[in-house]
Amino acid sequence: MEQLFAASAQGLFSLLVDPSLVRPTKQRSVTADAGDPVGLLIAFLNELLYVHESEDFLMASAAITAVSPTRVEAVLSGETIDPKRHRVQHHVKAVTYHRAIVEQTASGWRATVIVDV
Amino acid sequence: MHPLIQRSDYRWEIPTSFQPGMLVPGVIFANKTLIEAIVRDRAYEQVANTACLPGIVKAAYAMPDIHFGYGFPIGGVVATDLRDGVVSPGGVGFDINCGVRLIASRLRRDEIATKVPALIDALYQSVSTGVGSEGAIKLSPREERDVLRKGAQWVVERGMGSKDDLAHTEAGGCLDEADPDAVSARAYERGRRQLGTVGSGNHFIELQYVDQIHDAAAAEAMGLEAGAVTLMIHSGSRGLGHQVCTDYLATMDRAMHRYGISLPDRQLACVPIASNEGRAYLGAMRAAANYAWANRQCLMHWAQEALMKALNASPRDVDFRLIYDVAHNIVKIEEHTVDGIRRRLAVHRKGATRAFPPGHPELPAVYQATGQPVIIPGDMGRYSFVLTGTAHGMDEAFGSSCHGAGRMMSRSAALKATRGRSVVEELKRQGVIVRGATTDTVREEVPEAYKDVADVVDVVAHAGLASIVARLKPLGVIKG
Repeated sequence: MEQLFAASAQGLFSLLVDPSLVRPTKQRSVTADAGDPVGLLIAFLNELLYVHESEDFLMASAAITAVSPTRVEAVLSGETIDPKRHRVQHHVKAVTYHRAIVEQTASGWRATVIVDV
Repeated sequence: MHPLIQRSDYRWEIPTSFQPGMLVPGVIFANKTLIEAIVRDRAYEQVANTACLPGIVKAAYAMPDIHFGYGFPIGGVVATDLRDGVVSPGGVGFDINCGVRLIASRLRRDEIATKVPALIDALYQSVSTGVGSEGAIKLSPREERDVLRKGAQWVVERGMGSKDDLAHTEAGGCLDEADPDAVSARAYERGRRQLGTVGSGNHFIELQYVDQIHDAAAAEAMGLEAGAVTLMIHSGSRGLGHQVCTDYLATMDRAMHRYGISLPDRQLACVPIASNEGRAYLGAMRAAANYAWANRQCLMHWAQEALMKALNASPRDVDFRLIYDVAHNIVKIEEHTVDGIRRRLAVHRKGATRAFPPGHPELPAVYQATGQPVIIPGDMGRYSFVLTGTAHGMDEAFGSSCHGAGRMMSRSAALKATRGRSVVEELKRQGVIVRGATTDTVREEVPEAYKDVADVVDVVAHAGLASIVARLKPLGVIKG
């Protein structure tokens, strides 16, 4: 589950800017709650979008510090957008419930979420 | 095989036997060519899903520009009864009160022909567009609250527009019973720096000219003359509206089971209109809709100022007049006659435009004889249309019409199809000047990614939902 949430966060921010251009110069804690794993992943990703949009924050990596089926806590490393170095490619506006799946497979956890751009 | 039964040249039906849980049939307005695309992307399955919403009245409708959306199709109309029906944020969409306004002018196409590139540059510089852009108005918490309460009127009170602008805006640019307290702190934060910004995606400001008049009387009432320059603005409620939708989707996703509601897709999450969550969503949705009207009012004011400055012209020289402003992602409480009985309904239009008929009390005096102007943007290469609402459309689909061309390709498919091409150069050769924040945004919006809006409008006219007044051709556009 930790890896699933960390990888999902990476996936989301990679849509915004090239992740290799983001420096881990500051840290930001986030938490999310929901009634089930699908709802939790969506709530978590929406939380990240909010941090991005309200604080111009770009994430380099996420460390998941605690996770259960209904709550996740994470520390994000990243920096504030620098227009000289970062070109925002896509404005992700929201994370949807549409056809969202979180499932445990033989090779580990797998999730699919569709974002609104 | 698909389940669609052709009822007439322009009307297809999905019977309730198609899927368990359908309370009413689905109705899709389309011709044979458009229906093929609708079958291909399986958008009809989403129409069938929306027919399962508790309290739905008459039918789940889909306009000819329908395409696959999140949960609800884009181009759908769902009306639910106020007494026992539900309200659904997904039935409105993330961009609450995304909409279009059209402005007439005294300028002639031939007199500005050589100045179009300079005018588009002026628009681009004066109006903030897409990704990460910041508006010219930074709102204090109290000001933002007032915007949510007053809508476009808040902007007019600051000298940016006139009372006529409000009269020519759906709902006067302000929904009463907006509840600023039902809007989360996060939505306030996202809206604080974005009033007066176009936004990314398919939002735009376009300079156009009237290329064909189909209905001389209605065109005259709107002040549209062949060869005259028009300005079209397409934008919505920006991050604030998205946050309101996100917040209430989560609320309803959790609350739904308490009301015994279960649906085929969680994005359809809904609660009874009369519940606490339902009332709170409606209050917050109205507040976000008011923000969108204020946003388009700001954009119109700055666009007009930029054009006048670039042309060194006075307000009298240009004579800009707002023809109308319509919402195409919204839920409104309206009265409709169903089987001879007047009923109060929550009409969800997601990617569909209200199209009220002549004589409707909500229309300003100038449009009482013609019906409501319905503004239908096309893709940025071809054309857009102005229509008017009809009495038949009022009876047929709760006074609703299409909202645009409708996507045929996803954004990623459009990027793939245009790899290595300069869409800006291609459009320039066709006589359309394009300025966009990124080349990707322009490529995602390449004309071939969309259906031909003329086909869509043709179906709407033949189905009697609205009638065609004029066709507008683009001269230049700025994209978010």
